[in-house]
Amino acid sequence: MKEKEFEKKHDHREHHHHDGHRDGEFLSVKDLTVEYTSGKQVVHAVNGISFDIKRGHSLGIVGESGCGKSTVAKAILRILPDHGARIAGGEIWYKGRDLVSEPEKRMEHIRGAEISMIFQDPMTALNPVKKIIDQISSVIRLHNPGMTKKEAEEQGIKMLRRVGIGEDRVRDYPHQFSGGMQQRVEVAIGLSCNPDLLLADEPTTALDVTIQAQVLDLIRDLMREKGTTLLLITHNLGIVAEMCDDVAVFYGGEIVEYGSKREIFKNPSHPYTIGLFGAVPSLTGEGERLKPVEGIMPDPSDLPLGCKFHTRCPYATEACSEGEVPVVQLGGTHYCQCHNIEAVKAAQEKEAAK
Amino acid sequence: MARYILRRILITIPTILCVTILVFSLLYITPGDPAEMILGSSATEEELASYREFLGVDRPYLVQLGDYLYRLFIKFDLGDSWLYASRITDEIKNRLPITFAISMYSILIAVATGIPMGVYAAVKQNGAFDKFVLVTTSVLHAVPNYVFAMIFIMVFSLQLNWFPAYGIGSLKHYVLPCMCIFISNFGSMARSMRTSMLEVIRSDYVMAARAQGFSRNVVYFLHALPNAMIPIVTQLGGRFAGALGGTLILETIFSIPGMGLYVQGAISKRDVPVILGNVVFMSIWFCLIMLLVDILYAALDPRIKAQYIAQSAGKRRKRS
Repeated sequence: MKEKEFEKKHDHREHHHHDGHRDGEFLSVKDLTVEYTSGKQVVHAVNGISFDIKRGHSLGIVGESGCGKSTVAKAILRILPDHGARIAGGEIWYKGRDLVSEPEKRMEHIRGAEISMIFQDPMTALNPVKKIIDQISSVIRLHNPGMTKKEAEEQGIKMLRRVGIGEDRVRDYPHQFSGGMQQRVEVAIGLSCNPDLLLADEPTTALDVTIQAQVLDLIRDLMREKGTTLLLITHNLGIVAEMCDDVAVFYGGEIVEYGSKREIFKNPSHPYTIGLFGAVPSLTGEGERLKPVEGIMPDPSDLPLGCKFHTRCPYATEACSEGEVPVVQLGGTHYCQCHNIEAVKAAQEKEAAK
Repeated sequence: MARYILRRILITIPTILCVTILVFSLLYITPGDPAEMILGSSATEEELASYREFLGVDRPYLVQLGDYLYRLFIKFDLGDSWLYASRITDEIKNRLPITFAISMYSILIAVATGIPMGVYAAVKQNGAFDKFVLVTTSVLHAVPNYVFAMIFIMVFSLQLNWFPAYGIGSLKHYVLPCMCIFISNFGSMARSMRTSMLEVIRSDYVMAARAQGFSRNVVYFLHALPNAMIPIVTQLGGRFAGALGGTLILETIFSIPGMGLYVQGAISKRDVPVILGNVVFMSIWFCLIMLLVDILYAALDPRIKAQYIAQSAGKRRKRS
């Protein structure tokens, strides 16, 4: 507890002194690169991404399916599949330790206790042959070795009650619950050991809309209660708007635009981000057609040179198809990785004036 | 659970009854006069007729069937052989322990070795051990067990003179036939265990368990293995159930006086009551083993039980 207090103070000081610096941050990912190999083919899932999250803040990673978002969360917890997946480079600094080089035994203590994860599909993320109460209490006991089985169960029941599952249901099996209830169980398990960081990988994608709101409210309430930090992975800009302080837009295994929620929503600058907003229905733009982002994600085993988005980008120039793309700071914490920010801006304004 | 078991038993009874009637009827309609077959073509019409009466095959179909069912289910008597003086029930009583011992020893050894090997191969997927298991099991699985029987006889009895090549008596007699059945079971057991385990290891809840902080070994053995065992139990049930019939060829090769040789002899001599008795006995054995497997299955996987109860509840609702 003392350690946590100390770190909180420490964090504060860091805040005031330098903005944007990564040392001493709560979670700081630097140049993370993850590859999957199958046979001779190398899939570049994550290509040198960097981002920070401050304690108690929340970052949303937005992007299409297949762009490598989930891989980021799995890399942070180091639960990538044993075969064919590897962290090819970079660092993941968490409370002053690099998780990439942390010994496996240490990681086992971090997983579930300090950093926990909620998976996309609750139907498959719960063990089908174990009772709900056993699944949650075994995690509680794992990270509180002093606890008796009974105490852990009581703790589990308390946590389940907190997410709206009554004591009469705790001895049921996962298949006896609806998808929404299963995701509540997942949330309860994820937050049962009071983690400092919660990784939520599309936590509501498999649920219908009315349940989505309930689960999101639940996650937000519990986080506020416990001061949990959140890394939310989603393709849904609405959820980001509701849940996150900062946004990272993901494309082809790279962060193409990064900024506070305000910066991204007020001033989307990367053509891909603009495309994403064009694909969301709005109430004000009357009778406007939704504009999907044309084309499909490039094959991550055969990514284009230069800007990964140039094959689908309406503003692409010759420079986009070769070399490194510069990262431009647009102000505050707002960064964008694009050659033609000015031209894109001008074209946008022209269109708006029409 | 008690209700599930009871329902499952209640379903087994008509199944056994149906199988018995079906097998009886099939053998009834097969052409050929048993009296003529036994007495030979030199027998007179009178002799044949009195012999038919003696065997009881002159009676109408339904009477014969009723008589058979009565003797089987009330007196537990499978009738008499047409050719030999022994009662079929006694003969099975003498032969069953031999066949049973051979198949159970070999299946149990196959389980005890094949399952751990399959699990380990899956856990170390693509490693050297995994590749070794894949290659050996495909070879063992592909070669029929009588080929191994021939090789073993040549090497271990004729050349090395370690084990007897035929008959049954001491424990030594069991070694070669057991090895043959073991080999054919082992290959498929290790392979399906590996496949099943791999599938479970890739599932989300196994990754979730890792994300919750459980160590690799705990995840593999306490979270993944119980799930991976579910299809294996079904397969094992099939193997135990089929074990009594599966030794037929090997019993012939090794001249083992078990069930297999008994049926084989009866088929070649068209000793209908013996064939019938054996088929009925094996069907009942099969049904009972499957009953056991289903109960075990429900204990392992709560979804099966739920499905079963939901189904029967649905039916009841429809009726009312």
